[in-house]
Amino acid sequence: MKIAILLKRILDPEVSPHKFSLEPGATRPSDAGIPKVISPFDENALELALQLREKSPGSTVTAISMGPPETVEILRKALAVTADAAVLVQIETDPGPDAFGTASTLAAALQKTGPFDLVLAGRQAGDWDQGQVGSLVAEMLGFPCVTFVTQASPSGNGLRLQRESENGYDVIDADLPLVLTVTNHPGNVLRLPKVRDVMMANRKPVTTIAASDLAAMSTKIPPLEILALEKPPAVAAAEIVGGRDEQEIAARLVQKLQELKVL
Amino acid sequence: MPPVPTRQIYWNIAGHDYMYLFLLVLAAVFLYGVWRHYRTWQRGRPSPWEHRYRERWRRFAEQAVVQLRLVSQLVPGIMHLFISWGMVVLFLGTVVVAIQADLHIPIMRGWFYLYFQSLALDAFGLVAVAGTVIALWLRYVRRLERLRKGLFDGVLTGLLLVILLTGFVLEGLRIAATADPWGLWSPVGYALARLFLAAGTSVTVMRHVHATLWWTHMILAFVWLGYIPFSKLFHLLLAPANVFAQPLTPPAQALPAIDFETATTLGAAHFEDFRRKDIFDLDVCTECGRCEEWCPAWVTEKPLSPRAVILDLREGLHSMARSEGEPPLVAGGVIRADTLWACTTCGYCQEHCPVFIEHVPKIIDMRRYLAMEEARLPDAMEAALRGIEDRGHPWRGSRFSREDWFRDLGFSALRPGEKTDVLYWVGCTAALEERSRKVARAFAVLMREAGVRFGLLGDQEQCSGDPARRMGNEYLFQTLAQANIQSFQEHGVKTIVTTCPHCYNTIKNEYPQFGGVYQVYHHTEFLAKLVEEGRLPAVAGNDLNSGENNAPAVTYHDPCYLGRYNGHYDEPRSLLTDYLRLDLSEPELSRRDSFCCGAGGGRAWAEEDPAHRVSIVRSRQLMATGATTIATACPFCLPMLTDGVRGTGQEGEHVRVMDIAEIMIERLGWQDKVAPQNTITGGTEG
Amino acid sequence: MENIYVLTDAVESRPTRNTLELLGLGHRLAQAAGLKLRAWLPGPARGQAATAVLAAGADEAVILDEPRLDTYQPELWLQALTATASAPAAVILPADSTGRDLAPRLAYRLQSQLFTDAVEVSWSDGAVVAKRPVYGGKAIMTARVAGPVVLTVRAHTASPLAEPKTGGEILREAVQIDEAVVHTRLVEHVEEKTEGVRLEDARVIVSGGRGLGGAEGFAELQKLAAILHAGIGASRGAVDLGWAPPSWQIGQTGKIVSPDLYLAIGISGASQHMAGVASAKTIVAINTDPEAPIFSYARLGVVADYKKVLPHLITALAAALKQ
Repeated sequence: MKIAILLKRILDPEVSPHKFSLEPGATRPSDAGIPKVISPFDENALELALQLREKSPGSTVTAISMGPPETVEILRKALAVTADAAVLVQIETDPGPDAFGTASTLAAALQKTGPFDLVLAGRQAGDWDQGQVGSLVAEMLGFPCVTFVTQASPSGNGLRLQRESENGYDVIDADLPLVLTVTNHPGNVLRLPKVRDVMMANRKPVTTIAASDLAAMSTKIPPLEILALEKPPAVAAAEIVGGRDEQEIAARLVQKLQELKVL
Repeated sequence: MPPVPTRQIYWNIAGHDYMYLFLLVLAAVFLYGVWRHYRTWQRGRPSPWEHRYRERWRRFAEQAVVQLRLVSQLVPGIMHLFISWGMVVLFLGTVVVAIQADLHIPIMRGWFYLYFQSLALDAFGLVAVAGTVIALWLRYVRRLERLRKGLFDGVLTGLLLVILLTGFVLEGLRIAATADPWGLWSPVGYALARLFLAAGTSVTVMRHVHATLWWTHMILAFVWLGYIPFSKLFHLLLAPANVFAQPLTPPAQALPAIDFETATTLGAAHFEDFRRKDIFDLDVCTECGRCEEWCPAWVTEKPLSPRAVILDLREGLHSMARSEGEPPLVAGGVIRADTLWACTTCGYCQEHCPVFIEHVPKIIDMRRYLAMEEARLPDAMEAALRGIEDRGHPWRGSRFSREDWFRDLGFSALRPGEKTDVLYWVGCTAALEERSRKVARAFAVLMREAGVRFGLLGDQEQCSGDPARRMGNEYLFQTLAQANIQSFQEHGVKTIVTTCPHCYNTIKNEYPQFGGVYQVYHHTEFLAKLVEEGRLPAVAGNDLNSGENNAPAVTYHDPCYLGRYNGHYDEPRSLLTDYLRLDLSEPELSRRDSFCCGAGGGRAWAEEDPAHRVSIVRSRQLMATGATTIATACPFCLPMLTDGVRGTGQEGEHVRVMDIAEIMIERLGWQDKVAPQNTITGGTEG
Repeated sequence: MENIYVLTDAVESRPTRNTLELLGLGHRLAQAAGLKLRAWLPGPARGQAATAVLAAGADEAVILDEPRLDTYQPELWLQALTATASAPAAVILPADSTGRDLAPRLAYRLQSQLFTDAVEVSWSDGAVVAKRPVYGGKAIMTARVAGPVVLTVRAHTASPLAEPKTGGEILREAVQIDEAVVHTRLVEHVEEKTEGVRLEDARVIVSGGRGLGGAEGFAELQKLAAILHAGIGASRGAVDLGWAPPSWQIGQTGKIVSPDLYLAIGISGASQHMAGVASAKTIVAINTDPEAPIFSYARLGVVADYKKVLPHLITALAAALKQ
């Protein structure tokens, strides 16, 4: 099985709210002094790819990322957890919210470096949170797609999947080729790299493709016209319920709740 | 003219020359035993050796001759002094006999015979007997927790007692049967002789018994001696050797660096990966169990006993030496992984090991293999390491940045290239952990008020690497150390002061391995200096300030990496009592005996069963002093003990845990100087 | 004339709460734009709800009359929706596991724009203007989407029609389905046992985070939840630590809930989490840290150790609720 995993480099989603700053009129936040990390759901997807490779001998995992040259850092992390190959699709800045544009470039890169039997991506990137690129790539490649996958294992000629649903999960059998978008689950937390692999990862080659050299599928769909990007309105601070001891605090809290008629 | 005082050697023993046959066998067995061990010691990698022989002899005098560590537990210490010195003197007596009998140098005569060979030997024999009796009493009657109670565990002591007693009986029989005119110089033998005569024993019977007993005594003694290299008795020789050979710079304090360019295995996968000294350590162990007594892991029923680690390793090593098969996996094999991860690296074990075994470096060597070659760590510790790798700090999910805590105090981080003499190294925990951030604020304000100009790295600071190194990821540690050394260089840093004992230890003792040499202070050390220089105002009042109902106002918890690792016991105490005028009550376990809070060695991020938390055990010990404030000086101890006190339930409700810097702020009445600006403050509890 | 489409769901003849919201939103958009609102009812079983769907705001209830559409199968549904969307100006889907699954693919097939997880949608100058949280809720993006657009809209962000609408037409469309497009087959659906109330329906939710200190904290929360007949939720941090199952996760990447009362215990209030409770009426927070951001979202706050407060709170609530 030839597996491709799409990784996005994003501003650390755990950054302190004080550090997260929006210039008036800007359509993306300032990234000064904020570490960049692999988007969390992409890490889950990467782990799933590695698990599938273990369950299906002879498979390879190719990590593909789109971004400026520094994006190579996250590809090195993928190599350190033993991804077999890494491809950087080079553009000038980190991809913005233009999902159709991103997806068509990635689809072209997948076609150029493929063919792949399986393409994995996180359910959504931890920056724009749109949850679009994985499914769009599937459409552009003409592959079926299963979203919100937590677990996968080879079954017959395809895969048996667990897909998170509202109150539990679905078990789904899917044919290859296939695109999966992956969501977090205790079973797909990305493994820690072995130090030797980290050291080796620094020597492994990363294939770089300029996005402009790719024959990206043109879409007639224009990017979103962003009118504003702003911090959510501040809300009034809580009324702190105090008291001499915990018992009194509890009693007062219940009284307040009754006054608010929410019980 | 009275005859010269002496006695006949081998009186009543016909064919005593056969003894030499036994001696030959003994020597052969003994040498074989030593050789077998020597062979296994050679398996390790070479150990570094610092000369500094004066220092080595000084330690030998303190720890092998006077045996200070042993005596720190009075009765067992006296027991050991009695047996060891009794044995040394009795052995000298045997040497004297050999000189006279085999070298034909007549030294066993005159005053030397009377004072040494008779009186002193009898006295030290009696001392040795007392020692063995105490030893057996401690093991089987007092049933000292740490001692194993099996029959075999005491058999060597029992045998020694038999040998000593038969020696006295032999002496008594000889004195009685020969009517030795100098008998009174051997008081024990003389008393026994009087007993035999009083019982009306005939000379024939005495001669008969004496001959039989002599052979028995000789054979038992030879068996005992021959057994030395095959048992824990080997410590008779190895322990003094280990005292002499101990690394002069403690490897737990400054762990040996790995050269990643040349290393073949990272960490200790097999015995061959240990250093020779580490393997030697295994044979030195006397199984006394002092290491285990207040091991935080062992006390809270985790799967780790430092004694078991050493003994299991020893057993694994010896069974490997016996068989020809594949060498066994040590990390995660001979020693289980969960055992290794249970260690807080507090150093209690090695601080109390009377034979100077070093447990912590071995444990970390094995962790290194698990962390780097197998990438196998407990989940929560793994998440912390990943945090360090991705964000430069282990506090995943922290909603703070490293610059949040000081912004409203009016401080700012150093600009790129800006120089500073004194750097306040905040550390991840004081910058990012909810409870400990208040310590950073308190200390920064104290320095400002004392007129100290200092710099802050803010976002340029990264984890010092201590947690990574102690969790076994040496690679990550070295990356961080090099990055931090580079930023120190960029800012021209010469003096570093930090509120974190872990960062303190690492920057002070481990960064020099990578060329980073600085004057490093822990904040209590630095504050004590400021007080001494009169740069902080005096605290009002002459009397020691007590708590409510004349209870002690404060107790102090020694952080392991400040106390045991770096010997700073006095500065924090002097701040509390001399400067702050507080009535300090010491917990039962303090200073070098201090009991860990449970956070070291990466355990701050480990899952811990709430029913068996180290922090709760420690909190109870501290609360037993009756103090209502627990003072400490470490941003790990602080939240751990805060949780621990809470975990004790009702009794903990009126106990606060504070850093010394926070207590200073309070006693100086500077609360408003550290109070947060523009944030909600709770209206609870006043 | 162009149409606005809403994908509806129903239990027997009753549209789901979420469907009512989307129809209300669709109706207002259609009014503003002067377009027709068409509601899709996939499968004859959902067809029973056609009358109610018209009352909830649709001008036309389009029953996709093919029994194989009664259960959700994305490939078949996509086929049916693509085939029956005629001149769509906007397609509104719920931002749930179905809508999120379909939206990008449907947008691609309809060659339309795509706007997911909208929390506010309006019509302005001939185009849709929509808002959505980005960066885990740390920012709100407002965008203008000219031309046809597929939208997913978060639950509890739009209100159903206040008064039932009269009139409208029920259409049955026979849909040609080609099973050759099916490459993914449902083997089984596993319900995770949730004690007590479904989070999406719960009027009261008791939720815990990292501050609980361990899985045992959730056992305490269950006692409180039992008294209040509440659902139990968790922050992503608590789920990632394995203290709570993934189906309890509330937030940007978990469930979106809108209870009347949300009791956040040991939850610091990261924006990712707060995105899931934005429409809760009253938030009450219990946290040891007075500076925790949760207190800036909450109506009432208690700065204390939950372990000490909870037993008293359970007693006091039990007494109050008895009356």
